[in-house]
Amino acid sequence: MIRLLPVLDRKLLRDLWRLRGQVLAIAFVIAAGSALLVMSTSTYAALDATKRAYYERTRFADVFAPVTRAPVGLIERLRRIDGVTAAEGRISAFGRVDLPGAPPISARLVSYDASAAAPLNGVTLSAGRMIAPGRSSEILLLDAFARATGLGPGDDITVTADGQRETFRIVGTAYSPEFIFAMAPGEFVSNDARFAVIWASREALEAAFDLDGAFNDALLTLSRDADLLAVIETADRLLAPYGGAGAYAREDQTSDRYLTEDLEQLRVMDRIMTPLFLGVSAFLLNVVIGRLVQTEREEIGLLKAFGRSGGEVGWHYLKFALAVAVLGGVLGWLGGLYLGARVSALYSSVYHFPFLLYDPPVRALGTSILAGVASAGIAAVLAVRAAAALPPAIAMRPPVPPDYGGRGSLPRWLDQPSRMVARRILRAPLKAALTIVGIGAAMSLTVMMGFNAAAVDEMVVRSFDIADRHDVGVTFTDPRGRAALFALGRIDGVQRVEGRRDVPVRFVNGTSERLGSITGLSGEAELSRALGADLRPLDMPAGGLVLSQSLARLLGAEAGDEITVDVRTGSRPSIALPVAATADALIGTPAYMDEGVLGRLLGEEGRVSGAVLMVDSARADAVTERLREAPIVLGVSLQSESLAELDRMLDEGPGLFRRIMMVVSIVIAVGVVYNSARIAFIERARDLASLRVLGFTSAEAGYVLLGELALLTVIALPVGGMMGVFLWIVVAQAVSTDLYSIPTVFDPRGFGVAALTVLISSVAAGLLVMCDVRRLDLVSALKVRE
Amino acid sequence: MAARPRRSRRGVLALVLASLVGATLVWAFWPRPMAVDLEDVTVGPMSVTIREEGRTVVRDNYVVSAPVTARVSRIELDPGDPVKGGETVLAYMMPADPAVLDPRTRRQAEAAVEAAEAALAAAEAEHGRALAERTYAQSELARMTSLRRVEAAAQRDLEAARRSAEGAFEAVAAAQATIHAAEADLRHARALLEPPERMMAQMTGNPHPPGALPIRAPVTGRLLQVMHESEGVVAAGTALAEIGDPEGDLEVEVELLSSDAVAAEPGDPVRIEAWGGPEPLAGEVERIEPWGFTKYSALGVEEQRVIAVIRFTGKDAARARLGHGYRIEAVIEIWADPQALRVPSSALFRAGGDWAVFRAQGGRARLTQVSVAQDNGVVAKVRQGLAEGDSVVTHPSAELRDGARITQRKTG
Amino acid sequence: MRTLRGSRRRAPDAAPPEAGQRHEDAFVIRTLTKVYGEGTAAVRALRGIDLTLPDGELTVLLGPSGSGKSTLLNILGGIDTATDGEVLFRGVALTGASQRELTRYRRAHVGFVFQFYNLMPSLTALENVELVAEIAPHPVDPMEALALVGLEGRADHFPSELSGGEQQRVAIARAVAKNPTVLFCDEPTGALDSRTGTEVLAVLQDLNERLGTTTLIITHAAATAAMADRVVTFADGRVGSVACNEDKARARELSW
Repeated sequence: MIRLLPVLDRKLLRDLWRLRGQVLAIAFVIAAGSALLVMSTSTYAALDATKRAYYERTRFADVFAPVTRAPVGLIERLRRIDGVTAAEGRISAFGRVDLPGAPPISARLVSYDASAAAPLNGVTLSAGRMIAPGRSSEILLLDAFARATGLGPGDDITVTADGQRETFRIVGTAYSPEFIFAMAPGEFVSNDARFAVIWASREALEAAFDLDGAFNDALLTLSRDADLLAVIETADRLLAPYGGAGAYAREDQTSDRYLTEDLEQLRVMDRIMTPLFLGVSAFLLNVVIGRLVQTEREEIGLLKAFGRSGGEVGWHYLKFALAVAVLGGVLGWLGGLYLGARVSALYSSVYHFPFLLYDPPVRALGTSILAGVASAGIAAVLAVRAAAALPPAIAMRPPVPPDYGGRGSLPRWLDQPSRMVARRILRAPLKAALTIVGIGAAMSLTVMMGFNAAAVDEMVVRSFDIADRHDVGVTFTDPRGRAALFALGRIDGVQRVEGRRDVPVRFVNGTSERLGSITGLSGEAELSRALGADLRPLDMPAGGLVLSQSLARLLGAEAGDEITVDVRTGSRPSIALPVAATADALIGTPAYMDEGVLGRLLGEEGRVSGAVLMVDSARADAVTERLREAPIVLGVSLQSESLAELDRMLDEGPGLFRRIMMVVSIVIAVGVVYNSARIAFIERARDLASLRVLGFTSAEAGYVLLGELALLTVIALPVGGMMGVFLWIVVAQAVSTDLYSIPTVFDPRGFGVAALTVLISSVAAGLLVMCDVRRLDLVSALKVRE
Repeated sequence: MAARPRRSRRGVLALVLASLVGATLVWAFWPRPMAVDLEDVTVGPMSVTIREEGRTVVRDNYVVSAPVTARVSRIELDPGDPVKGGETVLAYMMPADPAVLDPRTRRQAEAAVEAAEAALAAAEAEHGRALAERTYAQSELARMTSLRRVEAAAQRDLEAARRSAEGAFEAVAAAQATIHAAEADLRHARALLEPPERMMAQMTGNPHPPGALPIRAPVTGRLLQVMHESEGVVAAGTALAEIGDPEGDLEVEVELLSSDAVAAEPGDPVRIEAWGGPEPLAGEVERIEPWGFTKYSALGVEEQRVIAVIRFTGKDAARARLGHGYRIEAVIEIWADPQALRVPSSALFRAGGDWAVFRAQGGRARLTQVSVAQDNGVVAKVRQGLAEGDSVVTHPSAELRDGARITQRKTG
Repeated sequence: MRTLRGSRRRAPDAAPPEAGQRHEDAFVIRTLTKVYGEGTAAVRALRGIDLTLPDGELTVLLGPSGSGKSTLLNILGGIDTATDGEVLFRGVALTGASQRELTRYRRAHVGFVFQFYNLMPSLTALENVELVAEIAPHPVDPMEALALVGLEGRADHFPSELSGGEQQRVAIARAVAKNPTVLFCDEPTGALDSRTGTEVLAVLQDLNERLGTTTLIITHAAATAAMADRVVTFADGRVGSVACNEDKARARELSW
């Protein structure tokens, strides 16, 4: 079959086979970059599509409007608002679940009309059956919570709400788009076992909360072209007399917000990391393919001497580059497919999506190959054009010794092979610099990933060791007086108590709005405090707000600005507050104020909504038991559990991504180093053969070749480190989300690991090349074309 | 210039490179000390306190109440007004209004009036007769006396006449008394019929209604509370006002948990905070009542509480603005040591069931067992295991291990 | 420091001569065969050569391209291995020797001069000579080696600054610096003009006479044969003829 191909193509195939080591190495480098591209785009596309479909199929509300108490008749009027396609009123409240041996668990109770034809925020059963109409003791339990605690259909569960205790029968477990991320109030990390969601019949909740014929939470779905702001305004107006706390759109809903942030992270990875990796690949390939083509100068000259046109010759070599690029693109696509499927499945299970719309990204194949071609093509084109422009005679002349003269002298004690190494570098500093930059660039990616991992650790340390050092956090059912703090302090085993006042608010800065909460801190707060940029605890200013940097960024506010705060509880005042400072808070987007000032502004001084405790670990169980007995305790969070959850969460999705990218960056580094070594070998084959003939052993001859490489690699280490630092500064901001921010810190170990990788791959590449040196066919290497 | 084999020089380059690389790796992987917060173990004052909500009470307060069922006038004084014991009139007391009569009782009353009137007429007639009898008896006596003087009448007759005259005088007196009684009865009967309005008109708006009894302040002080402000009829024993001396007589009542009450003692110094003034006030525990009662704690659980009474010990002027029933927070010092060896509580953690700390020694953290005597949440008194000047790690991270390198965190 | 004249020492790693063999013979070649490739594409570069090259002689190998002379040189120099047959260097078998032994052999005994000089472009003339002197067990002083070829004045010049003839002379000095037992020259004058070529040949002749180094010169210029002690003609992988010159011409007298 080969005979049927034109001669040049046969040569192409043989060349590809001859240089198979390098072809594979380059292909893998391209594959790494494009696999990343395919993986992140396909994963994001799949998850985004799944999210949309899930929301649509379950009729997830577009607008949420909590009120204190409104008659059901109002629902009809809400439905008639322009743009609203469906409206539902339901009862939503907080309660407490007590399981044997566990600290009090916060619970959200939501009424659900199982008999309705198309209920909004529809639930999907995962086990058991739906609540039967008329059975007010039956409930559905959130699937994640059920699985984390081992409860299931047929079990009973006792819920304390509004001062009363009720026992319900679990008849089924369910998912809901409203609770993909379910977090206890006041928490930043979702812990499946510490927050329950219960769907109960309307009758049951009406009775429990004294809301007969009324609702306290309205859900609206809108048509596609509805004016969201107008709908919210109208709804607010309608509900204001009934204690409306302010309607908000789906994007402010906790679960959707975190889900969107998470997916956004994927896109960020996609948008920043992938071009980064591809860019580095492209740059490296430039160098490599360029030099590869250079080594074929003589052949090119020959071809031209035999009558092939410059264009034909150029096209031939371009085909070489394209072949490698296509190979890399296909490999990358396959890898990306596999990784994309794995990562999508992982994320999908984390979000408890009941289904996953994963389209094998066939179109991405084209993109992948294109990416590879782009990487390889530009380099090849330039190099080939230069080579093809060479007059053929150049190939025919004996090689003119490259000019080494006039560059100063080297120290006397240096031996000849070392001199060769030194002179070669000095003679072509640009080429040496390019190699250094190339290895450095490959290394910088690994360095950056190392910094990323260390920064995530630092974030956890800052949050759990510096900012919040308490052992237990307690939330009350409603704000209490300070006597509650004294009472907590008296529990045997509680060493220290500090009160907190968390107030749900809406922040408004011009056109930026955000739902959130303000935490009132006292000046003596030691267990839980706000940190400044230098990690010192901030003193609460006398009258201003302290925003976390992430929140300030989201609102577009700075220290010195004045923003409006709409309080969403109590008398619901709307207050203008100056932003006094920003805090370095890495988890969540908190805002802080002096508790005294906050209390005065609300007209409720000296009240606390919860507390943080320092607890003697030997008495932790006893403390938990006492907290269970206290009816005013809504929920309890244990820092050790939150930490473990956060670690697990960071390890799962983002951690997987990091590991993948680490592997990718290592592949690139290895590929580059190996290619540099081999190309250097090809370029110096003749000199090496001469040395061997002169009686140098393979090792001694190898020294001349590898010594240069080793020196360049060692110089490349700090260069790679610096490039990694720069890269990290650029990327660190972009990978921060609503849930957590990553500090820009630099851990030398990240650099160390990357350096080690480069060194190991250099050694490995060197050993491989030494094999080549040993197997050097002296006869043909010495031959010059006659 | 000799052609010495310079193979050894080749090694030099390699060695230089290798050592550069080695140094870089060593720098990169050298275990970095963990940043921690360090604090010193010091000697100084330390106390263990109980902090509880309480309120101010006036020690001796007097409740002025109506002694009898009566109509009490409007109390014009306001809470806070000063009153002088024995002088300041709080209100006036008048007999209660008579009841309004139904028709049968009215006829009975009217008949009683008529009867009384008849009895009065009879009494008056009797009086007239007695007067006439007296006049006759007097003239008879005079005649008998003059007859005796001329021994025209017997001694016995004179004495009889005297006896008749005396009896007649008595009869007149008796008749007068009967008249008085009849008048009183008449008044009494009439009073039952008397419409109440007339009596009320006598009292209303009259700051000093005639016949009214003043209710005076029993002690000097301030009017603390007016329980019954308006004019009206009150039953005997109804509380009208409360008087006390908040300036000189104020103390603090705190409801302690019974186990805390055991720990506190009379004489324990107390700091009064959150009373609204700039500085905390000084006090001391005066007494702990031996009576426990059930109450719901702030957490919603039932507890046994005991009242502890705290007396102010500072200058009166500082707390001039405090009244009765104001909320305060009392910090009772149940244990103090002026020279305690103190370690920050946040440095303590459990290691194998006992307390331990990480002591900083030579740049490393050393797990050191300690035993503590008292812990007030901020510092703990060290019984054994640490010395003054030792540096310990506060809020040690879960990652810290014995022997790990540490360095002081360069932040607050 | 080694002396330069007439030293015919045995290489330290050479085995004692076989009995009955004249140890002065530099090379004894028996039925040497070299075949490249396989099957129908096989190329028989050498077809059973028998040849003896005595010590100290200057031998010229003549023949057209592809006749096998370069192949023989390569095998004698330990760069290539024979398919069949035997080569003895001073009684020691080269055929069958390991790569390491061949390297040691080349290091200690063989000087090479190539058609295209193969100097290290990044070293000066002196350094190129030193390069080899450093690894030879009994080297010659590099400056003296350069002086031997008349280039001591150009010691600090790089090959790019030397003419073709000068480069070749440096190559010769390099080859000689290790005090080799044998000196192989593959088309030493092929890249030079006739005048320069003559000079180079003169150097080679001079060295052969002064140092007594067995010299082998490959050339396809027949006129060169006049200056040799022995002329071996190659054709088609076989030895055509072996002739000895009684009267050797002087290199400078040659012309082609």
